[in-house]
Amino acid sequence: MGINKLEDLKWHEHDIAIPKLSTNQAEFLFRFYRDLERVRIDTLSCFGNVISCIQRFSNERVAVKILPIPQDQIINGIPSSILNHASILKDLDHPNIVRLLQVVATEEDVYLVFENVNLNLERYITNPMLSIDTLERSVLRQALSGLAYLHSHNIVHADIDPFSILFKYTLEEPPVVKLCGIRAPKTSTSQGHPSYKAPELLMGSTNYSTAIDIWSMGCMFAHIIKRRPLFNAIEEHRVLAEIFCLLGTPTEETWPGVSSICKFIQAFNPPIQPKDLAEEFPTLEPVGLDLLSKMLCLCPNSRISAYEALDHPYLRH
Amino acid sequence: ACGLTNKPKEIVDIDAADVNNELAAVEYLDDIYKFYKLVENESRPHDYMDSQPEINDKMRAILIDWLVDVHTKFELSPEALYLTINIIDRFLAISLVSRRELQLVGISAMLMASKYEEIWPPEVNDFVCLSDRAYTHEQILIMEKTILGKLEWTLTVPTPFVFLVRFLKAASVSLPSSDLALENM
Repeated sequence: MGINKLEDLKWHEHDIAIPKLSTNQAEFLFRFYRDLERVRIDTLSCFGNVISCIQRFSNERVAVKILPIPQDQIINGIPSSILNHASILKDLDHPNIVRLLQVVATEEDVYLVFENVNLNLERYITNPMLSIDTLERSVLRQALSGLAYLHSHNIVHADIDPFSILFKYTLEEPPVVKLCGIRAPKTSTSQGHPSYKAPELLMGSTNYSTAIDIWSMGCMFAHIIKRRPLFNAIEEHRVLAEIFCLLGTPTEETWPGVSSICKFIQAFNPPIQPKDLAEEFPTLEPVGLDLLSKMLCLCPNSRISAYEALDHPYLRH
Repeated sequence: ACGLTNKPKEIVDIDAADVNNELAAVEYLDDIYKFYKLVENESRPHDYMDSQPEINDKMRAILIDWLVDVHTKFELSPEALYLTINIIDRFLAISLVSRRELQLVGISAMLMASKYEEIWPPEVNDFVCLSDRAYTHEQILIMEKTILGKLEWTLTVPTPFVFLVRFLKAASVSLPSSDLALENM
């Protein structure tokens, strides 16, 4: 097995440019792994290459993510962003969080070895062969359970989108949801897709609270029910407009303090009225609509928490 | 029989003032501290001195005193100091270290702890200078990787600091004035 084999690596998603492996990276990988296959299972915002491969000594399939140490930082050893990232992930142990098995540092790169996962939510939803109907609740419950675990560890995910919710298949059991794309708290500036961003962030707040994850998860919930994204715009202000169209504009009564975050909110006079969610989601039963409306609550302080959501009648039974 | 006979009538909710502060994550505080308490024992190193042929308690004390000085010189946060000491003790509990290398372990531990805790951590060259060039740049970086490997990259640990902050809050000590107090604990 030589390095020339590298050219045969399969590319799963052609639209995303992934940098080539360096000679040292290739040597490292081929020494410890075989059957390399390039995949993109992480969020758009995540840096680095992800390679699915089989560990030579254990014959286990894993996903190796390569974090190159920037040239100008090699002089100070492991960069603090990577140190934080790896050590926080290493600490997380929950069935619905993608498990970091091992970390290996060389002079130029840090390799994160994760448990292998099969595909992300976006692909899961768009594949009609996977009968998602029976799994809506299960997917949401598992994802929220992973999120509650993160929040109880004082970690805000800040980038929840269809690419950060992954699925792992086992032979007989239903697929297991695995959250990925978790970054270090110090670097938590959301670069995620704007259509999953909470309204307070879109309005310019820099308050990265646990509530922003619940909003994104609410968008995911709607996405699963509708089979397409709830909000579609790419520019942040257009997403905000879409949110207001669906859920109405917030007022000082419904969201105390909103006018201090967003100066123009008082220009909506009279405020836009929210649409009836039952009409927007005709297939969702009332108890599900109730949970959705609590997750997509405009005011972050009144938004349901992950634990409360798990205890909601829609998910309880 | 030895329990409290006079339980306080009302337990004061020390987080009541932060309920509307989303960043204080009040609703998760109980869980966060339950978790800290749970892993506190796992991450606490056992008494390792008997297994170290070349170093003893006194040398460790000298090292820590020196690191407290370095910590002050770099104006690092108290979190970084507590984490440095935790890293040193966990590493010494599982690896034999020569007398000559003890300070190197301390330097690399502080380098890692400040990368973990600080926004602007000191550079490796700063440590080389402060240790009067006792160790080279390269030695510090190799030791950093050795320690990370031995500790399996586990740096997210509850140090006494996280509990002290909570106790101080319960004792209604405002934090700015307590920075000094924390240093002395």
